[in-house]
Formats: sequence, structure tokens, C-alpha cells
Amino acid sequence: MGIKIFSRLLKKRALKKPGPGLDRQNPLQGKAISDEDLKTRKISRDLKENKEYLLGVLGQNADLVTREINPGAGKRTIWLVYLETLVDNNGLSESILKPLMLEQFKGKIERLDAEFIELIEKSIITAPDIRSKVYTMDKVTDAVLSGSVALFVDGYAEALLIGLKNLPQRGVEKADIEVVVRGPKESFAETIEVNTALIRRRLRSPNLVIEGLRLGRQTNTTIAIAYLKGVVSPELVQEVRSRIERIDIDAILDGGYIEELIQDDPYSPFPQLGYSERPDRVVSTLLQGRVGIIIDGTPMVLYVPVSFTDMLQSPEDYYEHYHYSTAIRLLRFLGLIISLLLPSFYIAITTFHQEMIPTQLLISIVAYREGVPFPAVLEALIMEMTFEALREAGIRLPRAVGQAISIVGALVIGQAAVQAGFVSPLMVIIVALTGIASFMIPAYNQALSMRLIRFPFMLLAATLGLFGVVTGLLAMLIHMAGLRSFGVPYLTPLAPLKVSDLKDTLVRAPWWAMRKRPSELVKRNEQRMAPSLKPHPPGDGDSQSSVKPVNRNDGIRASSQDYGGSGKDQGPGTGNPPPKRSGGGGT
Amino acid sequence: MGLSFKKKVLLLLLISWLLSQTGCWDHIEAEQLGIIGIIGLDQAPEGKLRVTLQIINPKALAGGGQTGGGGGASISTRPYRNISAEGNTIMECIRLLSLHAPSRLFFAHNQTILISEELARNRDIETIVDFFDRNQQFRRNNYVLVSRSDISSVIGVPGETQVPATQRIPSILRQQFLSSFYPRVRLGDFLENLECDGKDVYAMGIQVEPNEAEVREKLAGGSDSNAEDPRTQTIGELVKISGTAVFRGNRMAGWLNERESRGLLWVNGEVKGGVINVPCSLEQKPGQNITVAMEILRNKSKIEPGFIDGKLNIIVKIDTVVTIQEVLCMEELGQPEIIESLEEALVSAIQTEVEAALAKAQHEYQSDVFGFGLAVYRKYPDIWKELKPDWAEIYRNLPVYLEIDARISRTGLISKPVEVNH
Repeated sequence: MGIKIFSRLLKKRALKKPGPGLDRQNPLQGKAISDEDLKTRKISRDLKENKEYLLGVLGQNADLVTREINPGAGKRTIWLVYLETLVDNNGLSESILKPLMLEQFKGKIERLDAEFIELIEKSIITAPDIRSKVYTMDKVTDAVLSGSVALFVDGYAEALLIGLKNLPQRGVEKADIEVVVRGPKESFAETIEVNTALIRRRLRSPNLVIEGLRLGRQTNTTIAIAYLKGVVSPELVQEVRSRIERIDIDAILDGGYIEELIQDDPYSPFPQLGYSERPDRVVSTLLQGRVGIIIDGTPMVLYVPVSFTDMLQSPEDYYEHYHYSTAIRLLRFLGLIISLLLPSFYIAITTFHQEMIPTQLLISIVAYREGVPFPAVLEALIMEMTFEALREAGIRLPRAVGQAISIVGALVIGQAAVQAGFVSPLMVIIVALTGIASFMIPAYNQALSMRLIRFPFMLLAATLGLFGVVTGLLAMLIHMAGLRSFGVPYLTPLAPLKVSDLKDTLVRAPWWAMRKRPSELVKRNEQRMAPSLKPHPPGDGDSQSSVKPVNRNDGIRASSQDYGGSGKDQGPGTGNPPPKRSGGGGT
Repeated sequence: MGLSFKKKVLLLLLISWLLSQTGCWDHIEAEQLGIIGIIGLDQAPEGKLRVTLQIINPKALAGGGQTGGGGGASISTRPYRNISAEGNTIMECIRLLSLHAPSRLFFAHNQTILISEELARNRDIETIVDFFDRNQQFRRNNYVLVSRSDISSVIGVPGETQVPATQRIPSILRQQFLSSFYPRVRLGDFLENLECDGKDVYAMGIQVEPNEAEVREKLAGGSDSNAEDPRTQTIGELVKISGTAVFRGNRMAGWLNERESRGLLWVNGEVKGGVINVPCSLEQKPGQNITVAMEILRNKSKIEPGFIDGKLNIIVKIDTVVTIQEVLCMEELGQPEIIESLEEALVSAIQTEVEAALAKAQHEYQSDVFGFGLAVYRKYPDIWKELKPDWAEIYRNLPVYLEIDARISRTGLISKPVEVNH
């Protein structure tokens, strides 16, 4: 697991600026220990002093366990301190207590005096994750708070930190939000180690880099930046790194904190970071040269940069046949437009442009609207708000009661309101269609922005008709065209137009046609596959396009070559071996 | 971008305040509209106009779920309401009608313009259509009809279904291609032809006729149980669209009957269908009605002016393809000779129709509905300038030659007629 990485990144902590003095009161000692003091405090040779100090910092916690042992009943005193709620008790007993206290070490411990602490580290403790040469108290408290056991030896001004973390965690479960029919079903959990493992498992490349750092003055949340070396542009990584390192905030409880602190335009309603609960999606974004941000405690991994069209794509598009995926993507785009514009369009044409409505439809609209006491815009606003309220209530309600809300929604709004002549049935249809369409957008945050923007559009439609709607659309487009996500234009590849990238926007080209990574993101190592992978019938005499049947079977090495190198090393080998298409794929 | 957040918010508030100040001046809720389906124009005393409007009652027309209209006295379920006013101009009449119309009269969905024959004969047509050309609510795809019967009787006939004339007339017109007994004239074309040099305008004819089937039913003592039902009150009458009202200049000159109308359409290349009866053999005596019914599939035509010995003449080339639908002479149609002879008979049948139209329009009404003048203008623009002043005279005596090419493409599912074995 990634434990090593994360313990290593504790060093980063030292870089951080000290926060304003947040004093801790020690009820036992009556002595305040400031953050400032903790940062600079060195471990003392005197165990008693260390004890006193640590108990002063953490002593009032009920789950703090301290234990003194005397290995082999010798004169050396070893002091262990840990939080029992975070530490694996079995592991503690197996890898620390037993080795230290068992008989066979008795003599050894007594003999070697000078290098006692090194001996413990190198020969006695069997725990896999151990850090030595820790001289400052802040590292000790930090480690203890994240589930390590701190080991002090009397007479040594250093401590050993033994990682025996056993945090409560949720297992890897099925994806809840980004559900697919075909494709992996796993989703991220809250634990960063688990999430990292899920990514690493899919991307067994030495080029996958997962950099760690810590954020949050109080929460000390572990954050990791993941990217694919050789594909990602270094400037992008540097930009992400610097934006994240700039953050100095009390708490990072979810990725949303980070998102708002690092996005390009803080006022824009459009999401400028993507997130996903699916490891496969995150891996695919890494392969496109993007940067992932993994946050401990968040079951979503953020990735940057994103563009408008990404938000319309579901991972399943790449797993299901491309004809179907293309059709679905077009349908989603239509859904996007409907969810944004349908109510305002309805308001505009029924109150300003009745001549645009086909006669028969107008007759129906008029017939149904007769007796409705509200103007169309008010009717629409009432219904849309009711729908939003239902949706919100549906999320908040306990699962057992959740059923009730749909019944209430269907009966109250669908039936009663119409029968009472409060709203016209047409408006119910409009609202329902809008609601359905907004659920078609795979990216939840995108759908949120569309849901929100729809309301100003309705007001524009009510005051200026279609002219207002078009004005609003233009304003929105201008804003979107000016928007950037980590330096990448938000509307790419539509504006600026990148014809080669259009293969994977509103349509989804077959895999063999998408040889290059998105050009806006990836400037080098663009090819993601060998040329001419388009399947041919066997015996088709086109030897130029033969797939090189090498290396495909040893997974790691082949893949590392694919990502790190390029597709260019195809030249000399072509044509020599008989094209064995069935051997490709390396399954 | 240079603005501070506060200023941006202020700006946004200002803009939204401005929006609310516009007052949505042309905003109107759909249910406040009185959708007009037909506008009818009639002659009124003292040289005035009578404008009759048919307002649609959407509730009766929308069909299905009238969930709201539960209790209370039974509202009239008549799907329309006709109102009329008299005045000097159409616009004046419309504004007069607003005195008793509860809803804003809305003409964008109007589909039919009815002009009474009397008005068409006695008033300059350009003074009538000026309003329709100028007004922004009227569409150029409105149909222009001249009514032989009284306007209110045409738009008041409820017919067998609950469809008001508003919807019935366009629906009938949509099937024009099944008979080709009248042209389909839209306001746009009408206006265009009106301004066109060397072409006279025409419009469809409409009238009310007794519905013979129902009249017979009544005579036979059929049950008329529900006489109070507005649908059955005027039973026995039907709206019929047929024939062509022909204008000379800006006044209506007369009518073409159904065959003559088709003759006009043959020349204009607009026969899209219809049945033409062709005698089985050319030697058939009059009164003998052994015919073959042929359905016209398509028709093309070309009007070619030319000169023979310095005299202007017109050659009309008519091309058509038909199929055989019904045969009364029990001949085997597989024989090419028979088909050929039928084609010959077809040519002469078409010729009869065209000649009838020519006789009426060219000689009787002297109305250039065929656009021969236009054809001359297009081919010989210089000569047209000289001819134009006395075109009426030239037109009356213009020799017109027909070149008709008719082809029978199919004979239906059977080529051999039913043989009855005695």
C-alpha cells in the first residue's frame, strides 16, 4: 500500500507556515503549549521531560495510551505512546511488544548499549513501516494522531515512529452516482490509501506519480497529486502543486473545499474541476494527461483540467459500442439544452411569440391554460421550485421514507395541482421533461449549474421573450468562452476548434480511430496506440498495418513501454512476423 | 473583469431592475388570445365592407382532458364563434370587433381568407389585399378563396364532425391533389401574381351545397333524434371547394368550372392528381359512357411563345403520366396497341379540358390566368414592351397550340379484367 509514501510526505509538513498561535491548555500541568512551541520543540534526552511534554499536548485524550517497558528487565526504559483508537492492537503486540519483551532478546539488549535505538529499529521491531531519526515533537504528535506508535528510549533525543494504522474505513463498494451497465463497478472509498490502490491497480506504470502533501491546519488531511509522467505537461503539474500549496485553511473535509480554493474563476457557476467516484474514469483522465487530486476522506477524486464537453461524457461511452455511445452523447447534449432552456423557451413562446407555435398546439396550450390563475412565468417558477424542493427532499429523506416523496410528488403535483386548476398539465410536462433531461447529464456538478442557470433564463424569457433567452445564451457563451480550467479553454475543443479532438466530444469515434490523446492537454507523447489498429478480416493482404505481436503478454513492461515510450518503434519490425491478430491484446 | 465584486453585484441588480422596468410591453398570455381561423370579407351596404371572423374556442377543440371544466352550467361546446362588423376598411372593422371580443384577436394562425363573389366583382382586389400584405400577423401561406355562397353560411356549417370551418377548409385544401378541380392559391402567390406583368390572378371557389346523402336520409324519415345538438341543426349542408374565380385586372371576371379549372392547371403544370375519364375508343358515340378511369400521377408543362410569319403564337407543351384505376370496357390491357390507343384517347381528353379552359378564360373573360403574357415577356422582353399596351386585344386572338404527351405507366394490380363465366 501507499503507506510509505504518506509517511514520507510528513516531511512536507515542515515547509508549512506556522499558523497563528492556537493555544492548548493542559489541565494537568496548567501550562499552555502553543503551536509555535510544538513546531520548534526538540525531543529531549530525558524521557521524563518528553513524557511530560507529550502528556501536556495529548494527555487529556481518553484514547491516549502510554506504556513503559523494560526489555529483559534491564535498565533501559522504553516508552510507547499511541492512540488506541487508531492503532492495530494485534499488530502492536505482534510486531513491537513481543519482539521487545521476549526472552531471546534479553541478552542482546543488555549487551549493545551505544546503538540501542538503532538496534530496536533494525533488528527487533518487525512492523513494516518504521521511521527513525525523528528529533522534533511536532512530527511525533503528528504521527501519533495519524495512527503511529511513537517509541521513546530513555537517554536518546530521538524517537521511532512505527506505523500501525488501523483506521475505521469503508470498503470498496459499488459506484452510487456514476452508475454504469457495462464496465467496472468499483468506486472510491474515503481512505486515501484505498483510493490510491484502486488507481495503481489500473495503471501499473512506473510513470504514475502520486505526490503527497498535507493540508488543513487542524485536520492535517493528506492530499495526493496523481499524474502520468511523460504524458502530462510539467507546467500543469507545477500549476496544480502551487495552487494547492497556497491553501492554508483550518480544515479540508471534502474535495469541495479544495475545488473552491483552486478554481480559475471563483465567480463562475460552471464547474472548473471534474470529480469522479470511479477509479477507471480517473485513470482515463490521467492517461489523457490530466492531473488527479486525491483527498483523504473524500470518496471522489478531483481531476483538472476539464472542459465543457467532458461533463457530457460517461465512462461507459468508452466501454459500450461506439455507435451507441455516439447516439447517447448526442441525446445527452440535447438533454443539456432541454434542461437549460425548455422552461424559458416555453415561457417565451407562449407569452410573446404565439405565432411560432403550430396552430393545433397553440389551441391545446390555450385550452389547458384557461383558468390557470398565474401567468406562465409564475406557473413555471412555482413548478420548477416545487420540483427542486422534491428533489432536495428526496436526497435528505431517510431511505425508508424516500418512497413517500415520490408518491407525494406524483400525486400532489401531477394530479392535484392540475385538477385544482392551479397549473396547466402542459407545465407539468415541461417541468418533468426538464427534470428528466437534467438527470441525463453524467456530471452532477454540471447538472447543478444547469439547474441553477435555468432560473435566470426563465426570468429573461418572461421579460424579453426569445430575445431575452438569446441574450442570456450569448452572455453565457461569452462567459464560457473566456473561462479556463487550469489554463485550458473551457469550450475546447469546440472553441478554440481542434478538429482532431472532435472525435471524442459529441461523438465517440471507435477506439482504433482515436490514436492521439487530446491535443489541448498533451503536447508530447501524443500517440496512445499503434497505428492501424482497425480490425481487418483475416487474410487481408495489408501487411503494412500489422500489429506488432510483441511484449503484449507481460503486462507491466508492455504497458510501461506504451505509456513512456511512443508508438514510433513500430518501424523495422513490420511485415516480418506473420500478422497474428488473434494474439494481440495480451489477455 | 476590472470591476470589484461589489460593483459587479450592483451592476447585476441594475440590469435586473431595468428588465423589470420594461414592463414586458408586448407580453400576453396565450389564453388571452382570441385565435382567429378565418377572416371573411363581404360587401355591406353603402359601399362598406363586412368583416367576419371565426374565433376558435380552444376548450372545445383541444380534445380530451378538460379536467378543469367540471361543475357548473354546461358551457357551449361549440368549437367556434363568428363575429362580424362593418366599416370602410378591414382594420377599422377588426378594431370595432374588439369592442365585444373578450380576448385579443390574434391573426397569426389565420389560414383562410374568404372573399365574397360580390365583393370580388365590385371592389378592386388590391384595396382588399393591401391589408393582408401590410399586416405583420398574416402569413403568406393563407389560402385565398372566393365564396359563391354567403360568407356566414360557409363558415357556419358545422358539418358532420365537430370541426369548425377554420380547420375544415385547410384540411379539404390539403387534398386538392386528389381532384385538381381547383387551384391551390396562397396569399403569397396571389400577391405576387397580382403584381406580375402579363398574368392575371385567380382564386379557389368555395360554396355551400346540400349534403345529398343526409337530405335523402331525412326524406326517408331517418331519425333526427338530437335536433338540439348544434352539430345536427344545419344538417344537410356541406362546404365544397371547387372551381376557380378568374380575375381580369383587379376585378373578378367569372368562374371556371371543375373541368375548366383542371384545364388551367394542365397549362400551368400543376395537376398533381385527380381522375380523368377516357373513352375506351375514340369512335365512341356521345352518350355512351364506356370509359377508363385514369389517375393522374404528375404533370409538367411549358409555355413557349413563338412567331409564325411574324405573328405571335403560343405553344403549350403538356407532359403527363397516369395510371389506370378502373376499366369499364373489358379489354385486356397487356396489349401495347390497346395502351397506345388509350393514350391517344387520354391526349384528346386532356385537350378537351384545356380547350374548355382556354375558351372561357381567353375568349370569354379575356383573363390571362395562364400567364401567356409573362411567358412572352420572359422570352422576348423587348417585343413585350411593344405588345404590352394592347396585350388585352392580342391575347384575345392569340393562337394557342397544344403539344400533349401522355403516358400510361401502370394498369393496376391486374392486367386482365375479371372474366365472368356464364
